[in-house]
Amino acid sequence: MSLRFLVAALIGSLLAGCATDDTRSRAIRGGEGIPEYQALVKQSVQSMEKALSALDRVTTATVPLSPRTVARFSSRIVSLQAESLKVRARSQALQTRGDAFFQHWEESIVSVKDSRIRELAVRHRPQLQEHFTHIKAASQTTEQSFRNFLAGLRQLQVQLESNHARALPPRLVEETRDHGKEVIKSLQAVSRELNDMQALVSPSHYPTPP
Amino acid sequence: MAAVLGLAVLGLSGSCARLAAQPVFWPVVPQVTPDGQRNALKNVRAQANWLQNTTRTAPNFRTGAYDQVWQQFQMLREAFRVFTSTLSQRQLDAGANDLAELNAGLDILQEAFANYHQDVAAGQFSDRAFRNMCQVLGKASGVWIHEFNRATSRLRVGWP
Repeated sequence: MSLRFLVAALIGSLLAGCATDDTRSRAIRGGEGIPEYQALVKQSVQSMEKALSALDRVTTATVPLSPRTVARFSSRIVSLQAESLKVRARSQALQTRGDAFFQHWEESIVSVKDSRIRELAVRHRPQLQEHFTHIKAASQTTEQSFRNFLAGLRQLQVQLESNHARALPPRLVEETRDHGKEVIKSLQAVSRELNDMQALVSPSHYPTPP
Repeated sequence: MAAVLGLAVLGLSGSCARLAAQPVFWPVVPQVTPDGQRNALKNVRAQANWLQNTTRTAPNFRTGAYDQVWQQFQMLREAFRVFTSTLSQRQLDAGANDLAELNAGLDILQEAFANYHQDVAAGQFSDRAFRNMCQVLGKASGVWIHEFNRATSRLRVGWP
């Protein structure tokens, strides 16, 4: 009887210990920070390149275009709108929240386990904030260019779906393509800023003292 | 007497038909409890599923297709609003960026409706423009719910 009681007490104390330590495991997880944003930008550039390729295909194909060609173009525009949702939402959140976004984002960088990264993030906070300001500006440009690009694509889509025997207006095609290139350029600017931020908080970039 | 009752039923069913056209937002008292959060979470997922189903079937409706999709989207927005009201202050603080992005995502989804009207005004056939709108909403809402699930997992929504 007494042995059973001791075992139960031991198990109980172990479980109690687990319960009190559980607060750390229940802590809300931080975001993935810079690498996640870098991956998002890379995917967005790829999506834009696919859209521009689709635009090239319909503008270089001989008229009348086949229904299949028109359908593939329309499908690409649908995919672009879905694939761009996340990066556009990020951009809009950046504009809406401003510095609060950075402060919160910074917390996800300093919540990593590696103390060296945490220390670097604290040490280089002013530079990180400056890069963030550039990202915010580049994101705003990206969003505006994207709206123009998508508007152009949709106008071309309307024309193709109404009459795929007619050639597309060259000026509209050229303007749309230019907007698309602006989107990619702005995304690449965001990518460069993120790379610089990543370098600031990467211990491998700093030589260890002899 | 039976004729009067019959007329009353017809009148009511007419009113019900009109009411059915309106989205119904039952007054919900959000509960900042794990159970309250789990229920609100399930409701958002259910509304997103309904929206995706509606975008697949609505192009085949003879009437009321646009209204159905619009109402279902508004129900998703409302479900998300109720969900955010079940979050604790700690979760709201920790998830501020994620929640701002999810809100922005809903705004972007809503653009599809304005795009539909612009395409029709530009001369596209309305059924073609509507199909395009449904395809965009169906696909993009899938992306949105994926991000919603990621954010709620990070925030430990519904955990005791």
